[in-house]
Amino acid sequence: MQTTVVPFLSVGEVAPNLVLILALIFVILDGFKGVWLDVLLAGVFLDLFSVLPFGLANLSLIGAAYGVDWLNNMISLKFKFAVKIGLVVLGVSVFNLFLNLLLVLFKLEPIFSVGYLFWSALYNLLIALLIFNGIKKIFRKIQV
Amino acid sequence: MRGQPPFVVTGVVVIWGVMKKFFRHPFILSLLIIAVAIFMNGQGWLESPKNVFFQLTGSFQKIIYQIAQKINGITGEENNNLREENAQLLGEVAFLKRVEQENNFLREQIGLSANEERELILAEVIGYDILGSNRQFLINKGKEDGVEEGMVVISAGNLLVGQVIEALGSFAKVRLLSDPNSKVNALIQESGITGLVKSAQGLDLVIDLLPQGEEINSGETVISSGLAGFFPPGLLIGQIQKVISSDARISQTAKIKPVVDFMKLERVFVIK
Repeated sequence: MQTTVVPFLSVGEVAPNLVLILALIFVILDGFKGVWLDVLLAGVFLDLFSVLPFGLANLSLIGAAYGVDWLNNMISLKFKFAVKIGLVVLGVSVFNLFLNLLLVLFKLEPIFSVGYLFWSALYNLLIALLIFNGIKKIFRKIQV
Repeated sequence: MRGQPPFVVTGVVVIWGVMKKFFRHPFILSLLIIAVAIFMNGQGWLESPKNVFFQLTGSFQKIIYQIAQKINGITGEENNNLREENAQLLGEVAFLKRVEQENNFLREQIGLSANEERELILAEVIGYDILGSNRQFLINKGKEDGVEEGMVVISAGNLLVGQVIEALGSFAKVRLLSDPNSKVNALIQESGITGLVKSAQGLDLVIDLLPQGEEINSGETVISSGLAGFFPPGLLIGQIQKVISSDARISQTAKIKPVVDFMKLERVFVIK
């Protein structure tokens, strides 16, 4: 889906990153400890299909997922849905920033511009909202 | 003192316990696994597993990609435009053939060898960039078909698309011209001014390092110059869209409109 269908959903240069969004949603729902192997596997997929040096996408994904989990543990008892969605946006931004940083460390050109980071966060927020709502509806139906 | 473990042994046991806990932490464990994977990839040990993975997923991906292309695709209006453009191009092809014949004749007269024929490998695009920035794609030809890293990828009509960045058994990853890490020595065909083509924001390109004071007009054609040897000369890149000139800079920059729609590629050629 990510390499075949998603590119056609791109607006300008920005396309959603389904793998990243799903990984972050599962981290928020189940915690990093529960899903770290799945996140690691998702990172391997990102690396397999990426032209960037092997391992960079995975490192960024693990970093973003762990950061989001840490924040989620700090605030999950006090706030609700909106904050969790906010965490996904934060996770997407952290992932992109990490990746840019790692590319600079590897003496490569950063692939994401500031404009891209902003629009990417916004677009992924929209997709995350759709997925979150979908998951909520499925759980409600199961409970009923 | 007898019966009590020595101080060093106690220290080792404590450190061992702490380390064990430390390395059992999922985050640390993940980092270790990634480090091992990076090392294995560096040694080339992951090539076979990667190839098996792409063989398993390749045909499935190709089908989904083609369906997505069709759904995304061609509206009636676009069809008409393409027909019109096609007719125009056919006329140009006819004209160029005549020029080629004259050129060959003149080459023979002055004793120059004919242009060498390029050996091309036809490949199908089966997937795009996973990171969502659409600056690379995957093709269904690899080392077994003669594709190697660094080979240049074009589309029909000698239009420069990008370069093979990784070749596996039967698949290869291609970095598009629009990737920030792609740089091509190029020249403006009409004036012969040379510059460096690189990525701009989005899927657009710019030609940089054009000398100050030179007149550059929109609509002029940009082709690869063949300097530095990575890309063969004469491959069409795009047309000048807008010149960005400032007296404060030592060189001029111009925005290029790429001739290739990077998002609508179905088949490409790899130059052997």
